[in-house]
Amino acid sequence: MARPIRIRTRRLGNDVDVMVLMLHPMESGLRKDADGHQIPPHYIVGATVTVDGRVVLEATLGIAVSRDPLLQFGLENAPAGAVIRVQWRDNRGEQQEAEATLA
Amino acid sequence: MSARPSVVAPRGACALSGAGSQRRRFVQSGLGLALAGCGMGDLVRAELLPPAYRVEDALAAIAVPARASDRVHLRLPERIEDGAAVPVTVTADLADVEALYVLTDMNPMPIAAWFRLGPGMAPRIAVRIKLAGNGRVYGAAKGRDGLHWTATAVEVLAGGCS
Repeated sequence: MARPIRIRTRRLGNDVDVMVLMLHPMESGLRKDADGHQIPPHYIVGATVTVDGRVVLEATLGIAVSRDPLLQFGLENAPAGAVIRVQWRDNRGEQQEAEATLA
Repeated sequence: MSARPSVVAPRGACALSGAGSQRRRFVQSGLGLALAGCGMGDLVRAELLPPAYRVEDALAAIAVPARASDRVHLRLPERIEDGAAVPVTVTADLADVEALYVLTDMNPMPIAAWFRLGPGMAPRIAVRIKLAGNGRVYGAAKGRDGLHWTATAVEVLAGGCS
């Protein structure tokens, strides 16, 4: 799968800590390669996280975010068995999504 | 009350065809992400507004009142060897946080990333950002009573944008 998303969850009582790694070059479009040619922009513009279909996070990202964006956040009172889904879209219209089940 | 300074689009290496007009719109809107590219920090800063002014402008544009607050906490390294991937955590000691923001004053555009929180989310977010050089990183939380923000000075040995 090109540019996968990795989701790691860790339960601490009623709360779940979530780490999401979205593999992506996050190219600003203003760097040059070794021959002096501009490397075209290619970066995630936004990502959405849902838990059992309910939106819990909408992230607005861009070229100030590092390559392979790594987000970490916490869900309060998240039930075991809930499905967490992550979707991103980039400036070229590409998208990716992944899901995981909370322990 | 001072007049709002006019904003000039960066020239020189920043004025790429296609990207230029898009950048001007974002610069003029006072908000938006760093399309201008944080690697252009030194060149751009000479021609745009003083960084602290732009960040405070951006904070006030998110919500008013926007006030420095000890209810928002920022965690990140203060001395950074490589500015390409700096981990930043923003947390807020506030109820009903609608959104969290990461801003900088050394990248040409103030907002690096922001996050709208839904119900059931802890008031906390961590993200890795690029920092062009020395300056201040800001964390902000938007709640029912406006915006709370805090800032930390950082030293960046190698800028993260080129």
